Amino acid sequence: MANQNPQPEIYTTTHAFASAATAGTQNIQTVFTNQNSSEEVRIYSIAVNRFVTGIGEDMGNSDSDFTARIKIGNSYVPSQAFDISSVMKSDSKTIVFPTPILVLFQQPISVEVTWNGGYVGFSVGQDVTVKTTLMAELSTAQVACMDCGMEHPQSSGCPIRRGA
Amino acid sequence: MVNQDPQPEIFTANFNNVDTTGANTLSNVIYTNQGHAEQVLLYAMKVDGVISSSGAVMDFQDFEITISVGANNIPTYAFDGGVICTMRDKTISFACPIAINFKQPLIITLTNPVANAGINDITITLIGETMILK
Repeated sequence: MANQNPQPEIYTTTHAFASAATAGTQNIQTVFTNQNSSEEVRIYSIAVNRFVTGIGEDMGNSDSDFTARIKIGNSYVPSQAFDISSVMKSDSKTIVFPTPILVLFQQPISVEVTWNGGYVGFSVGQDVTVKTTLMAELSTAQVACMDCGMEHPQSSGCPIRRGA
Repeated sequence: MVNQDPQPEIFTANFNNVDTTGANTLSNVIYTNQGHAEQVLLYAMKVDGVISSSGAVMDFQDFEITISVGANNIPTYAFDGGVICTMRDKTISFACPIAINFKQPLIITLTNPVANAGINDITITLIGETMILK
């Protein structure tokens, strides 16, 4: 439930990989948006960071062959896994989606992070934590009024009386 | 009370000597001093940190931030602060502004799990504006 309309939301998921994790190891975390039937969430960008588990500092190894997939309800949006290694190595540690990801009522968000193997060979080599941060906003869904053509929150009526 | 309309505001919360060898939940309250007909909008946030003893760039990244406006958390959940302070510009913009109304104190909470990254000073800066409600 939004406390303001729109309301900024930032969802962080934490994915821990043990040093012995082998290529293909996947960690899935779910985010519950707590939105009601007349609200929608739009995700505009994702930021990714990684550090050594238990120390909280940057990894000594440069190895970071990770990909992510974002599941909204029962569907993947974007449709395929994408590389997050380049994101976590970039200056901004962020990629912005060309169009926002839309999350509707009763659609949990699942973030799947996979380690695909790297120069160490068959394991991550260090206990590593990957954190993804989804930059989003929660807003009341808008509907167009048939009379005036303007958009108003779905939960409230048009300020212009119908048929006026 | 604003001296111009709108008036830019930069609120800073300092968390000094954060001992990361233990778990912390540290809060800082910011009073916006706004009148009843004024509203504060926060557009962006900057996070920076240094090692307390040396002033060198902090490498500690495993902490989260919660922003409370009045009785509510906005955004709803705690979010990663480490990714922000390791970005080159150390700044994120919110997808839409956080609105703060009259008599709503702004509380910044920093939490971290037990880590082993020494003692650090973490500074959180909120960038916004105060304006008179029209």
